[in-house]
Amino acid sequence: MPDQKSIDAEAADWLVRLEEDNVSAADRVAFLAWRGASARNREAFERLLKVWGAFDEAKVLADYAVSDENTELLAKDAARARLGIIGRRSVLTGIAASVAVLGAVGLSIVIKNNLSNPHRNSFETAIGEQQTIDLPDGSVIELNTNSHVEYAYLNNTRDIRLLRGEAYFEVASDKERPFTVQTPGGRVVAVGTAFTVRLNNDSEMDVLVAEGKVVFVPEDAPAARQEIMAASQAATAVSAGQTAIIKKDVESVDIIEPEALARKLSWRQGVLAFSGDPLADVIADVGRYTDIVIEIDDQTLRDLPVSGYFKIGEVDEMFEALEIMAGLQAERVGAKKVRLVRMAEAGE
Amino acid sequence: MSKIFGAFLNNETAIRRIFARYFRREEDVEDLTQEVFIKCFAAEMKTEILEPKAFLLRSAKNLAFSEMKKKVRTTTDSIEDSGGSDVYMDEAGISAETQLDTRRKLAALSQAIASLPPNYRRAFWMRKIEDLKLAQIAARLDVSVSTAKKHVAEALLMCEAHLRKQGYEPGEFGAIPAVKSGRPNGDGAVYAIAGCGGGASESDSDA
Repeated sequence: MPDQKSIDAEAADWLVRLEEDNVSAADRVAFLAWRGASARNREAFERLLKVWGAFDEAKVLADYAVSDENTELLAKDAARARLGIIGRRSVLTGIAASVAVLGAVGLSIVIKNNLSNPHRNSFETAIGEQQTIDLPDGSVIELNTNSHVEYAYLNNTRDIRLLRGEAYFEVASDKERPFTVQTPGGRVVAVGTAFTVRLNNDSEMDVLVAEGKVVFVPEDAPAARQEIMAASQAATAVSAGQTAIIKKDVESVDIIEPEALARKLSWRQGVLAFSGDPLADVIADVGRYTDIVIEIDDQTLRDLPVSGYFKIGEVDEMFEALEIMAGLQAERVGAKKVRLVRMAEAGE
Repeated sequence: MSKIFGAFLNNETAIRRIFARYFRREEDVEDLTQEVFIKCFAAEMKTEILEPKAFLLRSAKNLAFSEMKKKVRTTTDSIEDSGGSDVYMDEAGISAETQLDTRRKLAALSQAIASLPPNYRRAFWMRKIEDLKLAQIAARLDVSVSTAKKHVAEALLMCEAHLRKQGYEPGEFGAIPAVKSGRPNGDGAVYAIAGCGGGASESDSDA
């Protein structure tokens, strides 16, 4: 009794022969005899016929093969191979390279041990850098780009200072030792929680709470621990899922949608995420991670909605993403300056 | 296995990442990733590709760009229509879901062909995609007609095995809506009743 493999081979052979134009009467008779000889022959033939027929749907591949786009890509492929060009060429390659250096040193942070006060530790990140700092009590500080934080652990306080930039704090619970983040504009006090503080300037900051609750204590409030705790009872609280703008006092507290919260915190994963944000805001945010100045001359572009996300530090890709997401082209106009223009206007 | 298919398998993650940057839905990323493979494989069957990885990534970026342009155009009037010819499939009258399904199957069929050894791949491509007859294939490959026939027949068996390995039942493919097929899928009866047209029987000596 023939095995399945040889039955299939015979069936395939018949099928291909019968699909030709010049099938003889003798062959047709021979085929009918073969097919009638066993149910397995018939099954194999019909099964393979379905596979054969399925490939009729693949005839569109012939159209793909001669598409304009493929013709263009093939021409590029041949040209590249001929010239031996390796890697992507871009008007921004020079800029990207200069920033890549920044990115490369980004992992090594500047740790300054303040010798006059051995308990105060200082951490700073340059533009484009990020750093995670593990604190002795198990709390964690994640420092974003161009930021500066100091901390001092005393017997009964955990005293953090955010001097510049933005940081995410994941606070180990310790009711006896409040975790305070001192900023030029005031103090944020937490017991066990996760939140970010971002300094917009010397007197204004954004506070975003991912877990738990924090309270804001104005700068002129008393400094002693008991007094802080007492003051915090009365102070404005910001709870999980809320964001607050603080300027001397809490200016506004808004509820933030979980998705928006995730986007606001996406820098911790080394990613910037946007969802329909105006281009001007996106540029401002991207600008925090690079020393390149990004300009928009065409004011009508400022409100262009931008969605998508890209990796921090991959500046070349950031511009590429803006090109793709917003149909814009980045033109280099100086050593550290790029202008965004509409794709069609870009001079190539 | 074809160069493009090999490079695709090695760089699928990088291709996905290109789309994942701009498209949040997993189905979109999957669909576009497959589209890249289909396009590049089709190009490869036309001309040898010297740098398959660069070719795939460039094609992916082009596709991401044209898809994003479409998307942006629908949400804002400020981007001018540049009229790119980035639609290959006849979309008229086909629902998005059906089209997606069709593209997945097209990707599966392409991969089945791409996984064949070179001469089997060329023979099968010429027979099924370019619709050439065995004599023409034999001339182009510079082999005998019976060798060409053997290549096509064995390629069919290898394709079937590949599709089954990928979890497809050949029967499923019968359900594909006819987008551009030249003729309906035949069934066995066609061969039983086809008249006794004359014509010389094809030589088949070296089995």
